Amino acid sequence: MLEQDYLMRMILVFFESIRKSWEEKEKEKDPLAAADTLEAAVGTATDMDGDLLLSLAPESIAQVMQVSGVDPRVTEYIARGLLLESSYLEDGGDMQRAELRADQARAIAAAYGFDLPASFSTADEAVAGMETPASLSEDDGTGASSVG
Amino acid sequence: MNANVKIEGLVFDADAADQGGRGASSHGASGGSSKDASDTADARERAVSSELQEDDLALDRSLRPRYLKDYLGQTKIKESLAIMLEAAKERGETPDHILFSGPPGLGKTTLATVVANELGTNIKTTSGPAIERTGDLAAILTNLEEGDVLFIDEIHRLNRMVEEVLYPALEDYALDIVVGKGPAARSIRLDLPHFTLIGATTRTGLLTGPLRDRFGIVFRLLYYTPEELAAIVSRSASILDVPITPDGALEIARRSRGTPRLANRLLKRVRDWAQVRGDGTIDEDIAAQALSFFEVDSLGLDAMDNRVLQVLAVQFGGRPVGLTTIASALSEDPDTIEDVYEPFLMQQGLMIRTPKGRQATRRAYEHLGITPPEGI
Repeated sequence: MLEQDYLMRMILVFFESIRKSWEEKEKEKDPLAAADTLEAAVGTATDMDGDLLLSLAPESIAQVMQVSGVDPRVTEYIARGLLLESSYLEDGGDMQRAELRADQARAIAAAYGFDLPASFSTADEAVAGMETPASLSEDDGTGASSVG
Repeated sequence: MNANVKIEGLVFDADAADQGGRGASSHGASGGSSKDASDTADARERAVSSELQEDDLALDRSLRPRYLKDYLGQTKIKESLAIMLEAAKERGETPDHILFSGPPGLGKTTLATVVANELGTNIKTTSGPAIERTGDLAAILTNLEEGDVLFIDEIHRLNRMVEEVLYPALEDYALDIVVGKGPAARSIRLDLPHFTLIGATTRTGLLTGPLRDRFGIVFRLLYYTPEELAAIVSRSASILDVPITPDGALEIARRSRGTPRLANRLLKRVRDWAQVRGDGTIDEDIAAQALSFFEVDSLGLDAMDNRVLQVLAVQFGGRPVGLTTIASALSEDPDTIEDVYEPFLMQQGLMIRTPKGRQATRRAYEHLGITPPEGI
């Protein structure tokens, strides 16, 4: 039950961050602020210093997540979030960081054995096929299933 | 294999590395105090400053020796390095961490690239003030490859939090990361590749004890003799395809304050002079004329150095003078007098500091061509 609560909380954090970041990118036309929103979510989801974690080399970030025992479902959200952030950073012109985030996302995917597309062009694509607040709270039917 | 310099994030081009941390990426190289900045600005305007100047960059690239056999001067350090590197290569291990200390312009950055070249490894170069956050250092460390050389210029300007992260990396080749918060916090250890840290500092006294103790070997670079500098000038002239006589090289060397960076810079100025006012060949006369024109005298003093001596010897008649009084007389900042001009004048025995103030020495009077007052 506790584990389910934790998972629910983390997925909510990410789901909400992806939704908020998409708004920042689309409505406020601020892709770099959108990227920052997703980065903050990574720190929250991993209970680590997000700045430190995201500064690591791609293989190292995957290694840290494995050693620290981050739930694989949360990890997939993190990888998808990083890939989405990469597209925001490209839009914002920060190509070097965009490349690093995409590499980190792919390294995490490789370490945990799931696939990622080349990129995401919308927030809905980023959460497609993932567990959502809606799928985790079917009982009360309050959860959202779309971020776009 | 030559040292391949990787440019990523905080890591910047070794050829562009300097004592001032310039060249770091947007993560910021701005750790210096305003005093540092103003000193550097003051020094930048001087032909005889040993701080790196913009003009030096292209020159540095072409003139830097790449292997120990090409490196002139610092004989004892070269011998020690050669033994250390050879032994490490034979054992198949990375050499101990190395600290180079000494005044700017003596070749600390060059020696770091030489070490990497001798080992046949990559060198990643950054500077203390550029590494502002622990994450910056973590990024650099986790991107190293086995056997790489990490060069941190101005290592005394690393902040303490970053230093704490560096300790386990130096001792155990590991990076400790804290997971969780409060009572649930725990530390996980990430293995790093074996690497050699080369630190460079102009201010050894500002290094913390724990950091200094983690260097396996500390080399103090000394000022070069005129003969060593003459050999460097001749080598540089040969690379630049400038005809120069041994006497010409020695004349430039004598006025270069024992500093190769300055010798190479003066060579460039004299080359221009020889090309325009002579037949292109640098001999003793041409070198002396050119350097006098550029206000670098026979001891390597520039106009401002000489003004300081004039103030002490003439304006105040040889009496001890306080720093602020000298500064007022020269319309200069006291810190600039103390940090930029005084050290070389004292090193040359032209000025002394007494409890009552600064005083010109007998040698200063002789240099200025003035009869010293009684008692000096």
